[in-house]
Amino acid sequence: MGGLILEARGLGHVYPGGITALDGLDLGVRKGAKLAVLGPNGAGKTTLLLHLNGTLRPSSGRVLLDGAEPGSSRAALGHWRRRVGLVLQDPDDQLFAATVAEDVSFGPLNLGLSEAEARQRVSEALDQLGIPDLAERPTHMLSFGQKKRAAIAGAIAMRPDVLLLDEPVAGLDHRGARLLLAALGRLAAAGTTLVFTTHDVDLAWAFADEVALFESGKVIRQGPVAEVLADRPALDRAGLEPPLLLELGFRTREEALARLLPQ
Amino acid sequence: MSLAIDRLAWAGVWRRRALADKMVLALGLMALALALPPWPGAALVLVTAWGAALGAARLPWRDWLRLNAAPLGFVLTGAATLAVEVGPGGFALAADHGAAALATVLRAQAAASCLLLLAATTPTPDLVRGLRRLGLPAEITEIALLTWRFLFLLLDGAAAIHAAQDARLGWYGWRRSIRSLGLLIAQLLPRAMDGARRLEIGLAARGFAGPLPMLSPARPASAAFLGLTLGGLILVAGVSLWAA
Repeated sequence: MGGLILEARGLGHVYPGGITALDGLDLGVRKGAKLAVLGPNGAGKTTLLLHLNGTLRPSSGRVLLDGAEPGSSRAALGHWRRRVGLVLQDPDDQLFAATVAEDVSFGPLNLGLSEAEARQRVSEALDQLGIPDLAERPTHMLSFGQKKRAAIAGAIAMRPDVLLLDEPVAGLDHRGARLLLAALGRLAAAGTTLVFTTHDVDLAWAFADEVALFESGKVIRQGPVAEVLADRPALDRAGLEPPLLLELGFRTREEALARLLPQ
Repeated sequence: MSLAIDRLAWAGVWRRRALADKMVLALGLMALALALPPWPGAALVLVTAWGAALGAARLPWRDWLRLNAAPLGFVLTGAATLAVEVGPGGFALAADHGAAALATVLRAQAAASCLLLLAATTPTPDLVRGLRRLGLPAEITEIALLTWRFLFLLLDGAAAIHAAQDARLGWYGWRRSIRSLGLLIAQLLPRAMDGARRLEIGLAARGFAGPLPMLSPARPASAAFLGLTLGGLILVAGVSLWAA
């Protein structure tokens, strides 16, 4: 993994009505990482993602892209969003066109690419997500899992350096989640940095290589997945349980120690 | 959720046929239904439209009958007032023995079938894009397409709320149904507003700056199909005028 591509420093966000979503949050995203932002529902994870691609402006603090503030002009935001893609939790919030191919072509055409180049990007994105057969399907007749993958294809067709995903496997059955994670794995292998929010510690354990624990609008711990998810006090603070495999390991060790060292 | 006519249009064998082909056929037949004498002109148009729908476009006959039933209900209701006269002795058959009513039924149902032929074989976005090629401003066609897409999200939302209400006996009895319907409508508006706001975020993340550019598949018209269609239209017109 490389240096930091995206950072949040002292990030704060207060929604109208005085609800604090982010409270002096610090986060670093390394180039090429698969970073899981782990926390309970309502902790402010989605608000964080909306800051990381410039959709929301912070009440305090700043976001840095390659060490510099991206700026808030129209052109600067355009450049920021080209480099940092976003996939929302509900794919219906992104799919607006009649067919999958039309929807996926929206981003590349907004980049100013020619029709031939945009067609090439659409084809590549659908291949990467394993859904070339859905190209001509109407978006409102897709299953939830197919919609998820179509929405991600729409984001990666812009070839972002960083892809932000809000609860990518929420609402998917086991097979749908497996297909989606395989596709995300291919993206990561191709060099895309992935940041995803989740409350599923087992997903973070299985897929991420780095974890940021989120609690009450702050990151309370960030580091390699094996270290952070073994930190039981930090997990307790974030209202989370250790991954099932680790929990089994802890219990087995405790029982073994109890047998070896009887009181 | 999907509408029956929308499902037919997306799944049909004519989905990939050029819009021009289908428009010339359907609108040409409709013009004949309106311009030719109802007998045998409208009857021939009706038979041709049904033949095209069930034979060439291979629409399932049950679905086709169901689609035609709705306009037929309206047409028959209207025609009943032409077929019956109210006099001092009560209701009686009209002086023309129902000829005007039959002509109205034939003409109206033939025209409706032509329109249904187009609607059941052409997805709405293709029609909207066709209108754009004919010169309708892009802003209007984009709003039309977004409205069409939102319609299905609203239908999904309404179906979910309805199921939730129904599971708690919200649709048992007249009073409860009216109350549940009111609550359903009241819930849909904020949901739609919320959905629109999130869609804006989703579009902005992909570089939305006003227009909604998309790649649309190119579907050139078929000279053979158009030739056959024009030949058929001339034949229907010729036979009708000769017989009349």
